[in-house]
Amino acid sequence: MTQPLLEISNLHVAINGTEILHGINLTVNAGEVHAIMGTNGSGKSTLTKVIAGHPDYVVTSGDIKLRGVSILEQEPEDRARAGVFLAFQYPVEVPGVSNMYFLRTALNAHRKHRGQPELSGAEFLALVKEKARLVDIDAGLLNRSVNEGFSGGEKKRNEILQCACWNRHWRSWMKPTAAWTSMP
Amino acid sequence: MDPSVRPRYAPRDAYKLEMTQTTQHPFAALLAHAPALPTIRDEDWRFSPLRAITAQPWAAPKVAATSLDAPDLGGPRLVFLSGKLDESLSRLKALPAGLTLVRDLPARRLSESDRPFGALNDSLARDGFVLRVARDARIGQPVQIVYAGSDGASFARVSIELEQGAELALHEHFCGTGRHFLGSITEAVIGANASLHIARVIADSSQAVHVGEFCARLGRDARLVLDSIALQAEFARSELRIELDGEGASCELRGLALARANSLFDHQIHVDHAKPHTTSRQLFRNVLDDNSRGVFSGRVIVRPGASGTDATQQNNNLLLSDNARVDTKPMLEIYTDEVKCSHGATSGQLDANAVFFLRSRGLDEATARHLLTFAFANEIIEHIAVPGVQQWLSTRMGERFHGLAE
Amino acid sequence: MAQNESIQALTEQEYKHGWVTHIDADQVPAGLSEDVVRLISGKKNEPEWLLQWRLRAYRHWLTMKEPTWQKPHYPKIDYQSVIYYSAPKPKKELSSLDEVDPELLATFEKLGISLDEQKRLSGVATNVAVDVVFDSVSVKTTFQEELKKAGIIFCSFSEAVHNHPELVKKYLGTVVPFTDNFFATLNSAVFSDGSFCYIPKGVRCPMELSTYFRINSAGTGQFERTLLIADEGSHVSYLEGCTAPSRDENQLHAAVVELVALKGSTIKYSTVQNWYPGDKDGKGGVYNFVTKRGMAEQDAKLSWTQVETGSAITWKYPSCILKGDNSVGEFYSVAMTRDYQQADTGTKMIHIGRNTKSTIISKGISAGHGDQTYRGQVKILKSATGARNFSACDSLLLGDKCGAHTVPYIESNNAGAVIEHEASTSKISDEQIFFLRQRGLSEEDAVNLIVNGFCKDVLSELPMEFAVEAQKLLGLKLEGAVG
Repeated sequence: MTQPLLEISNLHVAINGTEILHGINLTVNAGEVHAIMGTNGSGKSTLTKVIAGHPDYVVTSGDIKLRGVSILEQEPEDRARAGVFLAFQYPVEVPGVSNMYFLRTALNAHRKHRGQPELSGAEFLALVKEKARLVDIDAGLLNRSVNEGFSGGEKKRNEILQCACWNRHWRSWMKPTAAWTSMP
Repeated sequence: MDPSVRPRYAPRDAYKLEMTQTTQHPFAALLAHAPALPTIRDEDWRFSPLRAITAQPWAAPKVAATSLDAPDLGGPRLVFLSGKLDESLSRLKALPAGLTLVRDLPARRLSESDRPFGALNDSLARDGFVLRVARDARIGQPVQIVYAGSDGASFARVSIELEQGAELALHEHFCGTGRHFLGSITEAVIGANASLHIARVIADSSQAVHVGEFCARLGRDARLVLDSIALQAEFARSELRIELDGEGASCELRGLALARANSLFDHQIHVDHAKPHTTSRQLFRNVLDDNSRGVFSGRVIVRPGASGTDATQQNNNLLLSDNARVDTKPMLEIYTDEVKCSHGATSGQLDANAVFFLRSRGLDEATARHLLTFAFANEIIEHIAVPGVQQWLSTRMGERFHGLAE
Repeated sequence: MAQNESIQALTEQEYKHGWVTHIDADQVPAGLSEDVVRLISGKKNEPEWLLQWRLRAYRHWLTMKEPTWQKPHYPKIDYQSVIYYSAPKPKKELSSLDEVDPELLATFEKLGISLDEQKRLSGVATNVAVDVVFDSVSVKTTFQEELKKAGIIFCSFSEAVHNHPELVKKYLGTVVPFTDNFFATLNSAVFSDGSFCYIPKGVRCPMELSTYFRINSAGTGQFERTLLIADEGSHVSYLEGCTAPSRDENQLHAAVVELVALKGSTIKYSTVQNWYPGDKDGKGGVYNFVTKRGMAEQDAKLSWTQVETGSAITWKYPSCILKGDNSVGEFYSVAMTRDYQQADTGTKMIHIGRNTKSTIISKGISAGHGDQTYRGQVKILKSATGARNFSACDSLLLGDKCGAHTVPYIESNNAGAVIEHEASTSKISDEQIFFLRQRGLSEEDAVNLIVNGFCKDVLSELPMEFAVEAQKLLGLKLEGAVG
C-alpha cells in the first residue's frame, strides 16, 4: 500500500488563545487534487497557513504528516524544501529585491536541500525562461522587485512561476476567489 | 516623562522666573531677566528670533481694545480685552446643557514648566476660564473665545475639560489693534471617547506679537481635530503639544500661515504617542510673500511600547517672493518597531505648468497665480470643522487674493 | 517566538577585526598641551607655518565647548588621558615593502588588504592604490609610481607637507577651517597623518584610490586628516575603510576630510566604516566623530557614499558646499546600529550657486538597543536660484528596543528653489519573512535579502568590489539582529 502524501489527523489550532480549527482530518494521496470549500471564515486559509508553518498559529493537538513524517516541529523553510508550496492569497512585496535574484536564491536553497549543486547563472536563466513561457508571464516582471507594483493577476502568475521553478510534488493552493487553480 | 526622550536643548534654570513685580511694567521682570529669553541658540527657537519682543520695552495696556475683528458664531462667547474678561461683550448666560464656564485662573497642568513664556504667563496672567463639558454631553453650538489686545502686553489662560464621551467645537480667535503682545495658554484634557474640534485663528494687527501654547491630553479613543490659521501678525508662534495618552486616541492637526510684509509665523508641533494604536495626522502649509518668514517644526515621538502607532506629517511651503524664507524641521523620533510613520516636506514656487495651463485657458497670469495660491491654502481651510469659521476665513482669503473666493 | 530567538542568536555574532597587533609603538605621553602639539609637529619635522597653524587651532580649541545638541550620549571624555600620537616602531623612511615590519604586513594580510603591488597586479581584481594608516601614521602607499605617470599625487599627508607644501598650504583648512567645530579644531591641532591626493587638470584617475585606517594601540586617539584636490575637469573615486581592535575602553577617532572639487571635476568618496563597535553590552568601542566636507566649484560634482556599520558612536555629516553654478552634491548612506551602538549621521547640502542640485538617500537600520538619528540640513541661499534638492530617508527597525529618528532641517531663502523631503519608518513585516521562508529561505537569509533590498539604492553607488564587501558586512552585522 502506498503511503499518503499528506495526512492531517484531528488537527486543533489556536491563535492568540482562541481555537479556530476544531479537529480537521484530511488525507491526500499522490496524484489527487483536493478542493477545500467552505464559507468565509470557516478556516480554509488558516488550514493552509498551518500546513506551511505560519508562526502566528499554535497547533494544540493532532498532527500533520508529509509522506509519513510529522512536520509540526519543522520551520516554514524546512516544510517548503520538503515540498509544501503555499500560494499566497495576497503575495507579499519585497522592495529592492529583483524577482530574478529572489527566484535564484530560493531555488538554490531548495537544490542545496536536495543535495543538488547550485545552478550557474546561464542554467538558471534557461530554466526561468522556459518556466516563464509555460506560465505566460511577462519577462519584464522578472527584473522588477518581487511583486512590487504587480497587478493582482501578475502576482498570481508570479506565484505559479515560483512553484514551477522548484517543481515539487505537492502543493496547497489558496486562491482569493472560487477560481482557484490546480496544478498537475 | 522618560528622561531619554526629553527635548535635547538644555533647559535653562533662568526660565524659572520669579516675577512678582507686575505692578510696574508688565515686562519689567522679563526684561530684568533678559538672558532668560530664548535666543536662536536654543534649538526650539533657532529660526524664530525674538527681536520683535526684546527690541523695545512694552508698557501695560493703557487703553483696552474695543473693536473685535472676529466673526460672531452666535453661541457662548468669552471675550478677553487686553487680558481681562469683558462681560458686556461675552455671552455667558443660557449655556447649553452640560457646559459649565467658571471664571478662574487654572494652574498649568500640561504645559511644560521650563518653557519661558509659560513662566511669564504664570506671573502675568490676570484672568482665565475653565470650560467643562459633562459626560456624554454634546454641545451643539460652537463656543468662542476671543482674545483682543492693544498697546501693551496681555496674557490669558483657558482650561478645557471634556469628560468621557463629551463633544465640543471651539473657536479661539486672536485680534487687536496696534503694537501689542499676546501670550495665551490653552489646555485641554479630553476624556475617553470624547471629541474636541478646535479652530485657532490669528487675525491681528500687523504689528502684533503672539506666543500661544495649546496643550492637549487625550484619553482612550479620544479625538482632537485642530486647525491653526495665521492670517496676520508681525510675529506669531503657535506651540501645539498633543499627548495621545490612551489607546486608540487620534488627532488631526492642520495649519496654514499666510504671511506677507515682514511677518514671521511659526508652528511648533509636538505629538507624543504614549500609548499603543494611536494615530496622528499633520498637514501644515505656509504661503510666504514679500519679506516674510515661515517656520515649521514638527516633532513626533513614538514611545517604547506604543505599537500600532500610525503617524504622518506633511509640511508644504509656497514661496511667492524672492525675499521670503522658510525653515522647516519635521522630526520623527521612534522607539518601537510596530509603527507606520512617515513625513514629508516640500518647498517651491507655484507649478509653472499649472500656471501655463490656466493661461492657456484664457486667465491672465496674476489671476492664474492667485487662483493656484488660493487653492493651495484652501485645502486647509475647507476642512475646518467649526461651523461659521470656515466661511469667515474664506471671505478673508478672498480679499487677500483679489476677490477670488468662492 | 522562534523568530526572536534566532535574531538573538544572530546578534551574538562577534566582531571579526578585534585582535591586537603586538608592535612597539612610538608614543607621546598622554595629554594635550602646546608642548604636545609642538612635539607632534617636531616628530614630523614640519615647517614653521604648519606648526603655527596647529598652535592657532589649539588655542582656539581651548576657548570652545564640547557640543551637546546631538542625540547620542557618551560619558565625558578626558582629553588629558588620550594619547595624541602613536606610531609603529621603528619609524624610518620605507623604500620597499621588505622594510615594513613583517608583523605589520601580517596585520594587513589578516584584514584582507595586500600591500604587495605584485600580488595585486597579478590578481584579477581591479587595481586599487592603497594608503594605509596605522594608528597615527601612514605606513605604506601602493602604486605611487604608477600614479605618478598620470601626474597624480597620492601619498601620506606628512609626505605631502614635505614634497608638495605649496598645495597643502593653499588648500589646508579651506573647506574645514580650524575654527570649524570642537572636534575638527582638536584635529587641526594634533592631526598626525592621513592621506593626500591631487588629481591634475583633466586627468581621470586610472584606479580606485583607497585609504585604510586601523587603530591599534590602546588609549590612543586617531586624528588623521585627508585632503583631496581634484583640479579642473579631473575625476577620482576614493574609498576608505576602517577597523580597530576590541578594547574595553572607548577610543576617540576625530578625523577631518576636506575635498576640493575645482571647476568641472568629480570626486566620489566612499566609506566602509567598521570600527570596533563595543561588545554586546555596549562596553568599549570607537567614538567616530568625524568632520567631512567638500567644496564644489562650477560644474563640479561631489558624491559621498557611506556604509556605517561599526563604532560605538558614529557622529558625522559628510557635507557639500555647492558654491559654483551647476554644481552637484550627493549623499548616499547606509547606517546600521545594533547592540548598544548609536549613530547621529546625515549630511548638509549648502546651495550657494545657481542651478545647484543635491540628492540625499539615507537608509537606517536599527536593531537590538541600537539608536540612530538621521540629521540633515538642506540650506538654500538667496543666490541659489534654480536650486533643487531631493531627500529620502528611510528607517528599518528590527526589534522593539531600538530607536530611529529623522531630523531634517530645510531652510530655503530662494523662491525659485524646489525642495522635497520624504521619510518613512517601518519594520520588516512578519508576512514578508513568512513568505520568504515559505519559499525555502532560512530566516537569516530572508532578513538579509530584505535588508539588502532596502539598501540597494545606496549599495549600488559603491564601486563594484566594495559593494560586494559592504553587502557581506551588512550580512554579518545582521546575524542575530532580527526581531
